[in-house]
Amino acid sequence: MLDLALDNKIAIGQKTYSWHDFNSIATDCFALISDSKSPLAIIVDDTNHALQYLLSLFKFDLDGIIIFRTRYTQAVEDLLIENCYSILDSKNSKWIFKTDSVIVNKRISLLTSGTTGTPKLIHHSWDSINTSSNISTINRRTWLLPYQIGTYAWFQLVTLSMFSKNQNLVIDDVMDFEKMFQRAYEHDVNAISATPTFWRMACMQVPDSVLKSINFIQISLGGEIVDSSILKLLKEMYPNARLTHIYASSEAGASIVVNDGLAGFPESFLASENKQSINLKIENGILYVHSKFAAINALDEAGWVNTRDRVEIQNGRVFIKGRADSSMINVGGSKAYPSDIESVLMSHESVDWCRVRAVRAPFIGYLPEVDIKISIDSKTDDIEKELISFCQDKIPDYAIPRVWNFVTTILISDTLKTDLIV
Amino acid sequence: MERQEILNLMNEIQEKRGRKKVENEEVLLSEIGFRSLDFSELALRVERSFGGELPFDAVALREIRTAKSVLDFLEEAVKSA
Repeated sequence: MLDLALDNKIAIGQKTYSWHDFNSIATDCFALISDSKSPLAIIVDDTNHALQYLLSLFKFDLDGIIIFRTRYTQAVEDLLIENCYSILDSKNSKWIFKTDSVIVNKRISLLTSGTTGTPKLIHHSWDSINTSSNISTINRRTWLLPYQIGTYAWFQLVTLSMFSKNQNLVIDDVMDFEKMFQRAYEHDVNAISATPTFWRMACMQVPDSVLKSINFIQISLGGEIVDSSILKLLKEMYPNARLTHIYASSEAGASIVVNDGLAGFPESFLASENKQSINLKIENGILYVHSKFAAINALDEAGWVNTRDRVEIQNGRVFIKGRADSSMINVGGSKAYPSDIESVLMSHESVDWCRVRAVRAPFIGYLPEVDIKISIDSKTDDIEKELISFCQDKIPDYAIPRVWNFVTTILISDTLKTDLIV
Repeated sequence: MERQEILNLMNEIQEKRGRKKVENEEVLLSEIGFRSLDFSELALRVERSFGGELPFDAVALREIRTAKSVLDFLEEAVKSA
């Protein structure tokens, strides 16, 4: 059984609490949900309520999920009801939906939209979601937490603060980069976990003097592909910080931790079981993870999680190249769907076959890339230009492929998935 | 990678999208319809062409307004990569 690190501090906005304080102020939450007979979904608008209810779920060993308001869509409500959840609105402490008819499984769950945009429930135990249990010595840290409530990365820092001594948090519910760094300075923050996009946005919006005023000794990066440009930028800005990038997902858990300051991870990680009981393998260019931190409902029969991330080995390092079966491409914040793009391209008379995926692109995140086979009867001189023009009034500009790979043959692999020869 | 090669790639993108080529480096990007997606595509093509990753200079990025500033930025980025 995990023990709460009651003295750890959590600064939210202008107020600072300890987990001990939350134990006292969450009594209304305890009363509301402690005798629940079904899994619970708590809809929250702010960190304070999120932590009060999270503590309640832990304290009474309940099966639950914390959902940030902006993620609570009709599709999510349908999914929760379908899975026999009672739904509580923390704003007015009213039940949106209540059922008493199911057994509680003592899970802590997350909502993910994956790559499809379709919401999905990912189930963890407290032991699998609390990856800090794997670290034997943890120095005193005050962490800046910029992740959205209820995400896997948010859980990593919140559970670190719940269960590991001397791990404090500084959180701001308003995403104002400059204000966030000023508050980090006021609270003597010395550690941060954030995405490369967070840093790129921060560098665009926050003066260098404010950014450099924080004496970071630990910078963790995750949530997206970490390339060498962002590592170089941070190394220059914070020469005293240890740079760690972490490969993690709601399904696979935190699986790969890299501290050498280089992009990708050493190929040797694939070879042997490491200390954290995490195994990695590559099959058909896809990364698989076997880990005690993986979600309960994400494993295949042998206990592996198919990450659906494409990887490539170059010069002894393994690089994540993007999603293998991406059903959604995040193009600078706009969502492009490969199936829509493929369907438009396939409607062109010269196209025999195509497959669209995301390609990592500088500054903007991802762009659509297409592998495409053109009919041998095609008479067009510049087929790429012709297809771009063909797409222009059918799909948004950001969805029109930016990288075109013209292939000559389509093959069917052993796994009955399309493969090709370029 | 030479400045002219980067300009050629920029013009290829303009041409494929049915837009005017860059004839005068001082032209504003808004006048030739060259937007952030095009800039990202161009940077990707540059990366693939020289086989490395471009560094991220936020201050210089903020200053990009003209074709000249795009070329200056990428030329400098390739040198320091």
